[in-house]
Amino acid sequence: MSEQTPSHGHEDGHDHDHDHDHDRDHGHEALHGDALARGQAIRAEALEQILIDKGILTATEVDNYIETWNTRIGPMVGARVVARAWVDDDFKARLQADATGAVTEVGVNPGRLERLEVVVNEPGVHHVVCCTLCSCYPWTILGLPPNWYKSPEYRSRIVREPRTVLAEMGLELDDDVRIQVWDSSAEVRYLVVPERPAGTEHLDEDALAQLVTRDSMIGVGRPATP
Amino acid sequence: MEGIHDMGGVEGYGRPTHVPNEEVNVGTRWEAISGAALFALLRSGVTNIDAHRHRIERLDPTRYLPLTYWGRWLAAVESAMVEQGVADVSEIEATIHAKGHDPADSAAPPRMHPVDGLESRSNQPGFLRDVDHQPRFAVGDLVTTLRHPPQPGHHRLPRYCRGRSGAIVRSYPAFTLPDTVAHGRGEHPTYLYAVAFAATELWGPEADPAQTCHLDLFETYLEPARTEPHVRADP
Repeated sequence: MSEQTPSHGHEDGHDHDHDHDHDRDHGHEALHGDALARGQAIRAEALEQILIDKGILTATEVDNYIETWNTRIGPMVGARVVARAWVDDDFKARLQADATGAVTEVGVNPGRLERLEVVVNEPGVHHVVCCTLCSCYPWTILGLPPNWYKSPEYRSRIVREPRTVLAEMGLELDDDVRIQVWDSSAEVRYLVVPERPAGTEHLDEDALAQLVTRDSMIGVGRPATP
Repeated sequence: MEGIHDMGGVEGYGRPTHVPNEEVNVGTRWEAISGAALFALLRSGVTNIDAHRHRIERLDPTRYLPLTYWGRWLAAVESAMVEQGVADVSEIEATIHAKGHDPADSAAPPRMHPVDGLESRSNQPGFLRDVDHQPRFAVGDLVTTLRHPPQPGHHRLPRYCRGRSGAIVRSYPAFTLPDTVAHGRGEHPTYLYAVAFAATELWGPEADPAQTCHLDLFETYLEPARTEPHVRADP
């Protein structure tokens, strides 16, 4: 029996055809753009079917997922927390001591988020949140993470040059403003309480909540002004 | 794992594409399948969130960047199903056929860095655990991080903070340890701390003197400070 070198198969016409078939049968490596998205849809629907057949997933769960994250849970949840903190100093103190418990006072259910922490902006101190290892984000407080939060651009640079990145994102901070970056590297999730905008003394809590933007609760923007 | 996912401080990426406060939606049904399937796999104990994160880290780095966030989730879901014995690749392809598609038109199966010891999680859900010992550190303590990964495989000690000294600014309860949970090696509840590092400690003397980075680090990643850090406790 002759010794086969590792390269033997690659030089053999039959094996080459076999490799080609192998790639074809196992899905397409080189898809991109719309073809990739269509290829992912085909694959996802097969996985969904298998999980339903095996009793792991129910057919309604996918619809519920869309309903939950596209309509029910989003930045308006966190906005209620921030607006209450703006009008109620005692609540703000409880929030800083035990955010996970305090948010239930405004009807927020942290769900599977077991440890929420707030970081509170003040004159001269600005907080911003990220996750450099993946895309950890307080889903049950802010909803789905935006695409830029999950991007290599944000994840790589916000810890190294936050003042520059924030300026690129439209938030100019003076050089003497201290920037505190919070990299969510474990299961604690962070919510920024931005500074209450000037000229809002006449607004009630509900009106204030309308000014609280998602970006301001991550720390890459400011609340809206009335 | 020393993978492409560990992006903190890596240079060469440009400006984030950012539209202020743009609404975020699950845009397509396949993305929702990826999300709902992951939650179902977690709920049923087929996998756990730490193993899921490790699967994303284990994606071939040449595939990691071109895939979207949901694309990575889909790959990790399929990988969990195959590795945990829910389905094999031939069953997935047969199902693609049965639904009227040519497998050649489907996305490729995930190409993964191999791993040993991934098991389903059969313990109680959640992350917080009561432990019968006291934390080693307290707020205000100065600590130095390990210079190397705490172990092969999954962990949560980013490269950019290794071997650096900082101050503990928040002290947290014990959490299940991702390093072992991801590999089916038990929960090993471990105290967690928010540690503040001066940007000059992380990036050098030219860094922004008014910048601090905080990371949430497990007690096993920390030692009493070997060097005077550039930052003291600043809760």
